[in-house]
Amino acid sequence: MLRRSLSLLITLSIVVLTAVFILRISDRPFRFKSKEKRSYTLAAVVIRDNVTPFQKLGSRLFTVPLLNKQYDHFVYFTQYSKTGKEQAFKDSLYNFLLRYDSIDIYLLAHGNVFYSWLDTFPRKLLGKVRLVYNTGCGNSSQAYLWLDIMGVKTYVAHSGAKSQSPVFYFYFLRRLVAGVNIKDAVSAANDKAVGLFSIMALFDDTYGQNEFIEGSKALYFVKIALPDE
Amino acid sequence: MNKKMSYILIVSALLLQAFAWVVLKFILNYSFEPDALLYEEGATVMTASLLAVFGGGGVIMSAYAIYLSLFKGNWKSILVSLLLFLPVLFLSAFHFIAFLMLCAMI
Repeated sequence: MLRRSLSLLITLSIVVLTAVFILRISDRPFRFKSKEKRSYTLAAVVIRDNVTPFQKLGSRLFTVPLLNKQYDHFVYFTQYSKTGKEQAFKDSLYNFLLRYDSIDIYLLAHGNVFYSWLDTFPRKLLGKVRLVYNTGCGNSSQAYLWLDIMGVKTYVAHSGAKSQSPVFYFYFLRRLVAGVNIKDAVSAANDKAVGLFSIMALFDDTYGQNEFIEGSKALYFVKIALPDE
Repeated sequence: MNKKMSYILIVSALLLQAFAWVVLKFILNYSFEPDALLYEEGATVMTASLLAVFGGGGVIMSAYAIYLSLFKGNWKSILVSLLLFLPVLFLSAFHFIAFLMLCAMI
């Protein structure tokens, strides 16, 4: 009906517009920074709790390729029981704290008390922990423990009793790995998550409730260094 | 648009989705064993491959169907192909972009 070149042009336009629309409602593409350009060494320890196989697989599928791009070394643990992998987690973290300049810890778990695993770690050593990100519902209440008692530099967590932290985590990790600083990554990921909730609220009222939105946003806590520390 | 080609494309697109559904169903019911690292790696590769095949294949097929209807069909076939293949194109593009994101390519 139409000329070959015009048909081709219209088809390609439809494909491109489709891709752009999907990227617009999900997330924009990133140019990930090379880890070789960083002046310090960075490692990460990740733990996923004992959830359904699909959730375990999804977390792993999403997290591992991104960590590969940013970290000099990382370990990813999946629990198969409530207290599983404790010794392996502690050994890896201790080893990393001795070997690397800076460490990030990702606690991909429902409401948890992983801080209790680290109570024998020297506080000075834990001072090398740059970030603890905790997906656990209501675990923002642990900020004092992580920052003041354990001595880590930054703690990011959610306050809601039923927070949608996976949505935040998707946007947050992509930005962090792309080289955005932690504070800005938290802020941008919160904005993106709220944007998605507003779309989902068209189908389910829960996503539009203020309590749900505020509880799902991540809170950023930072340690204020005192002169004698 | 060539009717035979249209049928082939529709059946292929549906088969592709059925295949994806069966494999996803397998992964959903998948039981991780404590030391089954090989299985985890296998499931990871399988899911990524599934998204790549389902997404990439779906995009090519639906785009080709739209192209054929524009080039060889009439207004009726264009309308039908857009109605049939645009949803497949969106779904396929979604799967393919998910694959690229999972592989941290974008």
